[in-house]
Amino acid sequence: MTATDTTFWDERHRHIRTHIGKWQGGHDVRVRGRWLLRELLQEVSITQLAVFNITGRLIDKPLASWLEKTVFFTSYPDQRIWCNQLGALAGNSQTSPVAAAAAGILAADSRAYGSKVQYQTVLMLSELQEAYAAGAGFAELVARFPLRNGVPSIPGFARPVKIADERLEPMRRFSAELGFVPGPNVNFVEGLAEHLRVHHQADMNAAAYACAFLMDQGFSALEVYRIRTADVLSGVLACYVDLHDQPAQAFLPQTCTDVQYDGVAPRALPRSL
Amino acid sequence: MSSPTEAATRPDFTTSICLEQPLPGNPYVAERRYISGYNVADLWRNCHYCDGLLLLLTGELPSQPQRRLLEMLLVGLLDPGPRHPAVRAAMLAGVSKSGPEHLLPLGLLTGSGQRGGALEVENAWAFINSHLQNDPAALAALCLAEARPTPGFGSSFGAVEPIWQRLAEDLVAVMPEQPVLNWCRDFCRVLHGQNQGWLLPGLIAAVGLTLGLDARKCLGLWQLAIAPAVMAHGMEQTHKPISSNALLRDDQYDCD
Repeated sequence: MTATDTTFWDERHRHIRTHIGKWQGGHDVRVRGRWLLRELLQEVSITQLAVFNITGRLIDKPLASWLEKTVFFTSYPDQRIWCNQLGALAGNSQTSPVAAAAAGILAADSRAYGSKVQYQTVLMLSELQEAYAAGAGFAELVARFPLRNGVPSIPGFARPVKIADERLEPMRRFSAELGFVPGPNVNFVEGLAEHLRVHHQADMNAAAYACAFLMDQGFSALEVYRIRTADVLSGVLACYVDLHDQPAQAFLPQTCTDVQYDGVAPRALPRSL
Repeated sequence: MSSPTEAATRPDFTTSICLEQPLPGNPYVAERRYISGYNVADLWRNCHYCDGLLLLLTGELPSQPQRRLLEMLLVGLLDPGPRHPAVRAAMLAGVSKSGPEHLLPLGLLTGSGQRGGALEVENAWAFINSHLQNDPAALAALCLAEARPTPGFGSSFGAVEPIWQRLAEDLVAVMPEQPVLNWCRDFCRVLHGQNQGWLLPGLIAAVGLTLGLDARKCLGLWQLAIAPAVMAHGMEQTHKPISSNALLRDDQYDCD
């Protein structure tokens, strides 16, 4: 048998090489070329530190404030929201809060809501922007998407015009208050939303605006996904706490027939088994 | 922190479960793997899944009654039902389009608690183990009279869970001389008078104790036992529209 060249793995065998960070016991911690205790502790907020850890970018305080405020929109403590239902079930089962938080965050890694939607929305907006810049009109762009209930199914724009997203106006307002001027991506989604309102009775939701804003700030789809990982956390934990000390089986108790069975009718095992 | 010489020679872990023998010329690849001394190839050619599972957990292959006991338990717990919190969590996540790779872990996380979850199994193990020398009927009467906690035993929606009682009877019949199962059966007979009896965590703990598993392994065995249902029910929901699990309306939700 020919020996395999294992140099790549040998170089990493019991040896870590990284630019990310290193605890230097009794002294300080290196974080992407900066000192955590001597420098960053005095200079930055937890959000600035998180974005620095995740992306390597040391963002300024207004952008950190913007990110913090948008978490208000992604962590509603409403027990009907799916990830929060997991928090409530976990609380009523008296799991650890960490298990509840992890379960809720995993649930929100969803194609329908939460962090993955923002990742997909940034990717989609990038493609649409590219086509728009190449001369495609809004009607042509919208035609790329299938209709669902007569409305184009575009990530970030699944909002009937009758029920405006309550988060949009506050988001526009605090963006301006923090000194941000709409960039090309925000202007693009505002234009697309206007087209949808006029022609399709649809509107954008807060995810489209927030993703476009973050694109204008230079973040990639993967960076948005990573920064937004735990956005639902406080809502999940609020529901966890509410149910934790309530009696067992208190969260939306279900009868046997609340789950409708549509499978094969009860039958005997085959004799040959 | 260890010296460079110590660090170079000290193993990363020690384990008495698994031995891997390296492929000549590439020490990162295993040519043979052994579980408690048995070549895995011999195991997959000759053993039942439960044999291998108990070998992993105890270091020895089980007797035929031990294998039957575990197999019956695992089949009995294949599906604790779609309303079990761990299963329900996976179904909720599945229908709301969470990543399918997350359904099993998030179900097990949601169902890891002290009420009907993995931590109750651990507590049930400790409860049973610490009282095996006590008269079960007298202890049950005392627990009822003083409303003492009885992890692993109790009521569900105010009633005895008939399915778990039937499974327990069948488990006892597999190893009728086994003292742990008999102790729990006698304990439950008194509880039944107050609409209480075996709960799922108690079953796992009693069988685990019978098979010589410690509390932590019983906790893990419970997670393994319900994993098929968590996975299957969660995956089934991924194919359904999110609207099939409609959110409660505002008039069904009060918040002052």
